[in-house]
Amino acid sequence: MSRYLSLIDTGALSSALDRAGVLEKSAGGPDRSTRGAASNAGASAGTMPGHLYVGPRISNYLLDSRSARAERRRRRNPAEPPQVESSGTQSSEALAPSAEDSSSVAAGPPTTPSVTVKAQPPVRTLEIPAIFDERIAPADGDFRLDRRLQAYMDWVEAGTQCRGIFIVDEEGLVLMEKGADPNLIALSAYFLNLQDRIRGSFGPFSEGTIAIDLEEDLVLYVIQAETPLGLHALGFIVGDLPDRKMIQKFREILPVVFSLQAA
Amino acid sequence: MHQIQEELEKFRDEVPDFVSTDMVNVESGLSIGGATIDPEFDPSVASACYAEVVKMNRQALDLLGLGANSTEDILITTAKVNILIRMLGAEYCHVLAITRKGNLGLARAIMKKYEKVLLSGVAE
Repeated sequence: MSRYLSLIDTGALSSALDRAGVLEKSAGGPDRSTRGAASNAGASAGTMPGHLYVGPRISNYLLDSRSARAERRRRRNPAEPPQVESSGTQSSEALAPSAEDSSSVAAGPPTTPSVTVKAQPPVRTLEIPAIFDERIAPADGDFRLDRRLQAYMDWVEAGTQCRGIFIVDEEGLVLMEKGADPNLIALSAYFLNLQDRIRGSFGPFSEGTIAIDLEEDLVLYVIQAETPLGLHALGFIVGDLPDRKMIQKFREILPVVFSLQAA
Repeated sequence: MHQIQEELEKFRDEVPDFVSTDMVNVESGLSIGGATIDPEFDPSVASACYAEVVKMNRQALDLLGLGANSTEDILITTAKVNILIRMLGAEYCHVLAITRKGNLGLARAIMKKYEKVLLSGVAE
């Protein structure tokens, strides 16, 4: 489309429009000061023939992305007040102090601006379920791996209220998953591999945890543990951060799920 | 051998999307136990061929200098089933066929789980 537009002789176009009386109509239109960046730059069809000006569209795009960013920030920190967008089209009422403000300034002595400390949202401590689900290590000798993995995942899910959960082996093959994005599972496998290399470089330190900050205040946790059937990892996506004790508990229980003896 | 058959039947019940399983002596190619849910799919018919696959794989690894007996498992994917061949020591292999929608990760883990008990059944 732009290729064809560039072929248009704007001089001829403006004279044609002039003949038709269109330009006269637009001259009586909106005030130049309200036309945005095009008028500020003095870039009209008359001053720059042969060029189509796209400034206002770009500036609109920038404003859109700025507001989108502010929206994202607001979603992350709901306590934070919405920021006032400073744009050239802001009304004079918004910029002028309100009557309340002016009265407080007139009445009281000048006060030093107080520093407001933003209250951090409390980190919710998720409780580890007191009753250990007996399906994980059943007394009746039912060691079906799929049932035990399912029970373990249910238990973790109940404890963390996670949005997605999975268990993978050391090669990154999924043993069981629920609501987890396959891309995140693949990413976890990559990080597990990386962690193995780090472990190799820094000497023996046993199982570790990887936390990856995702969008919208979500965190992907990958907890690795050596089990009787090899290295396995539990991954889950949570909004509320679980505490270290809980992570440790998950790691302790994972080998029990794979063990062939009753706990 | 009776114990192996019992364990393979337990194994059959545990693997989701199971099609068949077989335990094969690699040297002779003979099946020493198996289970299936599809009567038309008899894994013991192909046991000698699976044994050949294992032997050829050993030769290839030897040529590559990776160690002839370093194989953990071999995966064969087909249009209808996925076949996993897991080594049980140097002499035996455990073959499992699952449907395409079956979970390979879980199947491998369950095969690992049964490894010890199947080997102890052979030793008896």
